[in-house]
Amino acid sequence: MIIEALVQYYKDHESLFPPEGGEEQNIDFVIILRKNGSIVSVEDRRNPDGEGQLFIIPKKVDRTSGKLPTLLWDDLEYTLGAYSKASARKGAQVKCQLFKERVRKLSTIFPDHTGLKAINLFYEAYYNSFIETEEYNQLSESPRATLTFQLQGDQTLVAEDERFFAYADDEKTYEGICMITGENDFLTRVFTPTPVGGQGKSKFVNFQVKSGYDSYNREQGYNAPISKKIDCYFSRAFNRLNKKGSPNSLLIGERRYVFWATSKDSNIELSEFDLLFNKLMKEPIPQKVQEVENALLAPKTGIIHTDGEQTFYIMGFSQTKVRLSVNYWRQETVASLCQQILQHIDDLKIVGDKRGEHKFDSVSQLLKSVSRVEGKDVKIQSNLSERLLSSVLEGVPYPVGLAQSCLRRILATLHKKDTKGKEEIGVTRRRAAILKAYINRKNRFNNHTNNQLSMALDINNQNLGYLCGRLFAVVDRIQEKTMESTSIRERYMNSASATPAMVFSRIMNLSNYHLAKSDKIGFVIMMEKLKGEIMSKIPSSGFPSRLSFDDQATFMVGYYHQRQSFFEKTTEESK
Amino acid sequence: MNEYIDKEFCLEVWGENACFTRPEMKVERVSYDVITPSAARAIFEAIFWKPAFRWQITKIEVLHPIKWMTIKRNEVGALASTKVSHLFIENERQQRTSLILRDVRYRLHAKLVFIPFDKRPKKFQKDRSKDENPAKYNAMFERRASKGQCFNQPYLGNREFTASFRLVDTGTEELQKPIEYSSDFGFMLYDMDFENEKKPKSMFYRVQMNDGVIDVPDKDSEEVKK
Repeated sequence: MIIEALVQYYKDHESLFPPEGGEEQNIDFVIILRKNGSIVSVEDRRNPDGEGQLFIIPKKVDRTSGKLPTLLWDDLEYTLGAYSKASARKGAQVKCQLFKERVRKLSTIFPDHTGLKAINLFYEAYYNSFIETEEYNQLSESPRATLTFQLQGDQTLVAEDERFFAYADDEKTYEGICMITGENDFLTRVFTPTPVGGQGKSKFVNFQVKSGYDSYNREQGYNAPISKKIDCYFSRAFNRLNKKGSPNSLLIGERRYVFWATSKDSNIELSEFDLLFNKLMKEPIPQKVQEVENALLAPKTGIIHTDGEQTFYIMGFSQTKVRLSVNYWRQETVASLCQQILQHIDDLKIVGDKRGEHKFDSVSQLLKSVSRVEGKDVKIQSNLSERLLSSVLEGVPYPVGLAQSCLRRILATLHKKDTKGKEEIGVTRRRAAILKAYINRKNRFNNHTNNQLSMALDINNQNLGYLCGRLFAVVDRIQEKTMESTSIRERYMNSASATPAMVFSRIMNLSNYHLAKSDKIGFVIMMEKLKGEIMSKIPSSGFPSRLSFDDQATFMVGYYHQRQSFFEKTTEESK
Repeated sequence: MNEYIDKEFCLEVWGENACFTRPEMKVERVSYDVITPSAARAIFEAIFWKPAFRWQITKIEVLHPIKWMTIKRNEVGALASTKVSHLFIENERQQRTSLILRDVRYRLHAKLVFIPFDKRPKKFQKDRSKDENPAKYNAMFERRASKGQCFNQPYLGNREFTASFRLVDTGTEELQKPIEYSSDFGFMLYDMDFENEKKPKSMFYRVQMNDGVIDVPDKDSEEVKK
């Protein structure tokens, strides 16, 4: 399913890729030759970062063991027999010989090609004098640099001729049924590397010889019969989707995700939905929720060019030096995906933005707000990102770990003073939204739909956790306004949310003293009224001795709602 | 002369987890979406098998929606061999992730295909009993399956994912409906062809699921690519 989906992507966008056998590679040095093989100059094509210039040239061969030259270009050991250590001298000579022979073989197929003739002449006549020069010694210092040839007067390298690409791979492999297409074809022994994030030779499919992966004495790629053609297709598709800067690839927490929507129109390089999805998961720029919602409703209203019946694929994976491992895979229609995301956004809606507009939080931001911040690093729990992402996409309750981390961060950051926006302090809008969404989704999933928390203050909510939270907000506000101190919040929030019975009698007493000190009659009356209203809802058995985890989360939401209502009232008063 | 028709049996199979490993992602295991005929055959064989017959899977019905789960396990990255005196697994530990199926339930239909004496491999042609007939084996299977007897614990793809089973009488019972999901899963492993014991070949077939039902072609049909 994964490989098939990638192959389909390749087929839909075939025009974007070079012909089979061609590959984009960095070339560091180019030797310019005259038609008779003599050297004009050696050009250094490296950019200031030290990377070679990119060209589309024959595919690099897979050299796991043994000496195998690439066609028409390779590192200096193969192309010029250069070596830095004396011990490598003999090996380098053999490699150079192999390279020369490969070029000669190609020129028998294209006898009239002037570029190939020039290269052959170079090796026959001018190579021996070249290796005596100072230039050659300088090149030998970096035998791993890549080199190729260009004919004087030509605009392109000899290797860039597309007719040669078919000869890039001349390894004879077995024939058999390809397990992806069901057709008889030449199978591939080793697969093309699909490194993401600089993991060198990491591959999608990789079997190391005699390490426990060989089945029925089959070795390497023959354990999973896939044709060379299909290997080319899916690895190209995968590499393209994961290219640096591609909007189809995301790093959330420590997991990398790649996603794409099938696009029927091959002229559109990227489905618009892919871009939207990227924004939803990553962008920290504040955006209006209304805009995002409009975008998601688009499949119905037709605002974006996205057909609701298109399939959307998302794959979560991690990579080692050797191979890739798949952690998450989902395929879904765009329409149902939009549905899930809209639900997620709706669950997160909570009161408390300036100017009354709802802000939009990306998944990345949500994770950041529940994680520890150490200097510049945000330490997100290792599998929380994939659990959160999967629950958003599948419409199931958020992971408990999310709510737990959130609660922990709230209590841990209460004491902190201004962190210049690097870390959130206490109960922020985002954290309250997370807890509210967690509770609501959990209740909805378990069919307890009458316990839903609202966006703003709900005076009819009888939940004990909610009421305790509200009361705490009132007491906290009284102290803040009368004493200009927040010590009750910092010292008592933890115990008030976990064991209310032990704590509330004390803080209620304290708030009475605070109120007595105030001379603003209006304020005192309002607070007393509020206290009375909340207390009347608390049952005669008194404050609960313990609050369950869910009720603690509801406490925080109640606290936040009540607190926000104070700010709304003051803005009304100031008008 | 009455024509002999292979008798078809039905087993309902379920388990907490299953992993029908894809060959290309065998190292960091990724499961196929549905059970392979190979794994289904193994379940029938775990209950009852004799060299006198083979099981041919005919139909697979998926009763629970397809759900996934990721787990990380400590596995061993080397093969033990008779030529080497030992294998210290602690030195060969590798941590690998697996993407497996969760909460699976299938109804598997299979035919007991009787193999005439002369067509069996030579090593099984030693004793010939006079009253050998397919009905005997049919009865034995039915008895064993209804009692829950098996030679070894049936499993769903990997041995650690044990399967529970029960014999289903398709004629009389009211059957649970398969899931309402139709999809083309592409090519999937059908089974291994052990005709040539030294080099078994893999066989593949294209899986089409219609409303939770997969019709499995016969081993020798042209839909099975070898």
